[in-house]
Amino acid sequence: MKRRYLALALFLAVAAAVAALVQPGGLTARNVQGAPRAPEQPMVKFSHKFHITDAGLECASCHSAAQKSRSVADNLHPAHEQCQSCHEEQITSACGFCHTSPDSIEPREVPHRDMLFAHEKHLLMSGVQCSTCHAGIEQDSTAAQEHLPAMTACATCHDNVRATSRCETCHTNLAQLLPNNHLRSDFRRYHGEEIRVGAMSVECATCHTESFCQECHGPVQLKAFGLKDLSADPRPRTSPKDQPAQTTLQRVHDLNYRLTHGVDAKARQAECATCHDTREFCVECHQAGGNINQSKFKPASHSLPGFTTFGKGSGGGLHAKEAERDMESCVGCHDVPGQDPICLTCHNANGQVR
Amino acid sequence: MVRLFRAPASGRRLRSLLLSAAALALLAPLPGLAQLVTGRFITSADSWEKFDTVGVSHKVFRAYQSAIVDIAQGNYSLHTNMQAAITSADVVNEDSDYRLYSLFARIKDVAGRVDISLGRIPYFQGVGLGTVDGAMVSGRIPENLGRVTLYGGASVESDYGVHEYGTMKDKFVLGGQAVLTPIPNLRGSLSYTNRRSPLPSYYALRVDPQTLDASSVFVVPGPAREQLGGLDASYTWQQTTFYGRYDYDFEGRKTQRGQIGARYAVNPDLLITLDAIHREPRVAAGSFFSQFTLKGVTEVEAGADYFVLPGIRTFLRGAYVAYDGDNSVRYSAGIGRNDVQLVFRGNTGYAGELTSISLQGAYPLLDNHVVPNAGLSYMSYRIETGSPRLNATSAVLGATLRPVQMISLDLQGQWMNNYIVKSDFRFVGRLHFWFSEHLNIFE
Repeated sequence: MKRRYLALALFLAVAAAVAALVQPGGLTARNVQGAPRAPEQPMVKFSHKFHITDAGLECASCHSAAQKSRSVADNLHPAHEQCQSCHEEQITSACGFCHTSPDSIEPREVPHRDMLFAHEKHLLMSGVQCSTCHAGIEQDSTAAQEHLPAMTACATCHDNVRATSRCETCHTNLAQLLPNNHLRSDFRRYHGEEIRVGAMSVECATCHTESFCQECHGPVQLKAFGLKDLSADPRPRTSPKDQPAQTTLQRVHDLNYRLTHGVDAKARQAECATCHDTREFCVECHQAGGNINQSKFKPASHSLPGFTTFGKGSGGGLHAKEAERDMESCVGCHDVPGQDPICLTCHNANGQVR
Repeated sequence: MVRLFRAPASGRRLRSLLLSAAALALLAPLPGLAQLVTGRFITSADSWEKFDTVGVSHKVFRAYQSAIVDIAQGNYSLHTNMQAAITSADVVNEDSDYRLYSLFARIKDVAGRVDISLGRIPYFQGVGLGTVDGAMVSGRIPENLGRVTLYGGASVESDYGVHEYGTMKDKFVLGGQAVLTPIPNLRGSLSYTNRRSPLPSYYALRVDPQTLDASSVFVVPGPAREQLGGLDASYTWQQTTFYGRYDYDFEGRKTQRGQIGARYAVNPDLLITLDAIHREPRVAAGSFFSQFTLKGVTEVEAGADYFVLPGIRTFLRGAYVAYDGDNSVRYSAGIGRNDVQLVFRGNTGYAGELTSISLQGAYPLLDNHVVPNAGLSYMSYRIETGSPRLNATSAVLGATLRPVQMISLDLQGQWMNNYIVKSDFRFVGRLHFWFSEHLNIFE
């Protein structure tokens, strides 16, 4: 008990330290559900609708730099020179005509983005215009950022047929590349629910293919690669993510998970059968004569007096009660393909005692 | 001695080639559009020193090669995902050292609404989850009302090798799913899967009940059978999403699992969840263990995710699990950003006792060209009442180097301490190369 309190105290101390050290201003705004926070107020009063639809200007009239831009770091917003051809009087004498805060005008900085994107390359493609990505901009009467394309807009072409949808094509920061809803603490369960109601062909396919799902959802066997060693991992992952749990060898579980997985299995932390063919997977180590040191891995309950009782009316003892309560645990060790179950020693083929 | 992975037998190789050829044949007659070829090649290796006897050790080295390649042209595409391994250890290994996770051709938008896949195909369709050597047809229902998917063929063995199919009645998968969106915010699914996989024959000693003489008998078990139906529904009303699931086991003629839950976004920074799940034990139909009386497990879980600051996420979750005549509690709490996370979790009761704390993170430097990563984990646990309480610690330290976007090199040291090994160190490495090119090989 003391250890648990110590661990909890340590957790709270480190959590407090992390929270205290973080600078909120330097973090990306996000929320629990995954939607972006409300955008900040525009720094200028500007109607795309008036300039494009009513005045008939081309996008390049103001954003001329876009046609030669090869980096997301390029500042593509028009400078005074672009506005000056039409608004010379206002530029020299009426800052408030455009600027929402004329008394505290600050140069607009290009936000840092961990992206690779070249306007030049896309604009040179046949059929690609500004409105292909910035859809609806000609009807927007503000200068707000809502018309920066969302990733779903990219996916209309980056569908692995016309263009690749691999993460690295556009994203450079693969350590922090996760949609907000993937950070939810219940994401493992949540993603399964979403898949079961058809999300794969809608939302998930934007980033993932079936190969990605197979990383976890194959009936992963230990024996297939001859891994008969406590310190070995099943297989390397193929994920491009730069995180310690995913970057090198298979780390779905903690390195010492083989010693504690029994707790998770019994506590239904997750359903093992979702990823493992439990009929073959568990017995590889747990069967009698498996590679696990049996004297240490044999459940302590099996050595208790009364674990198995014989004779009519005895009820079978503790093992009968345990089997009724959690037969999956019994199967994990005793249902070995290619062998009689040990239960047949006493029970007949119908499960009754001989 | 380095043991190369075994090549398939000639008959198997022939079938693989035929499968590949059939898939390629679908692509060959295409008009002169460019093909998009996307590939990911991952070479991984790890090495550790293994002590089998006190004072006697040998070094083990293992390497893997993975290849994921997709070729697409218009509505036609070919997909494959495979992996092979070599090892230096004298490991008894009766199974293949390669895995063919998928190899299939797909034609999209046949008649404007149907996708057809042929080959080794992964499927994730409601209660059906696995891989099939066969076909999959998926069609969109008009008016965006949903999608219907059907799949069938030979079931794939769990080692993902290429084997003889044998008798199809003992080795098949059939299934399907209808996903429906009849009204906005409501998504429903009806799914079914029927899978049979052969089990190995064996000799066993049996006692004749009349003479009490023991004799060796040859046992030919029937195939493993799984036949499930699933009903799912998800509905979003204002800030709350409700989810329900019901799985029925046709072989056992009983409920396999029932679940209801809700997720309520109190405000943009706070999400509360509540779930109740009842599961019956997953015991293979027809197996000896299915003959006994089995009891289910019911759990109730509640949790909350909260942003204490923009970008700083915290969570708290707890669950009560009820068995027949006993119970267990699990709980967890955590704080983190998307690059670092600290998690505390624990269990008490029938499932065992566990207290663990883990910290892990990765932080990009030098314009994302260098990403150091580190992790630390401590666990104190007791598997069951009467067993000793034990401790285990592990740590990882490494970095990803990405000199150019197409190539990355991962290096990581992993250290473990537990009741079996006092100090076990491994070194792992991975070279990752991906590409995407437009080719014009049919022009």
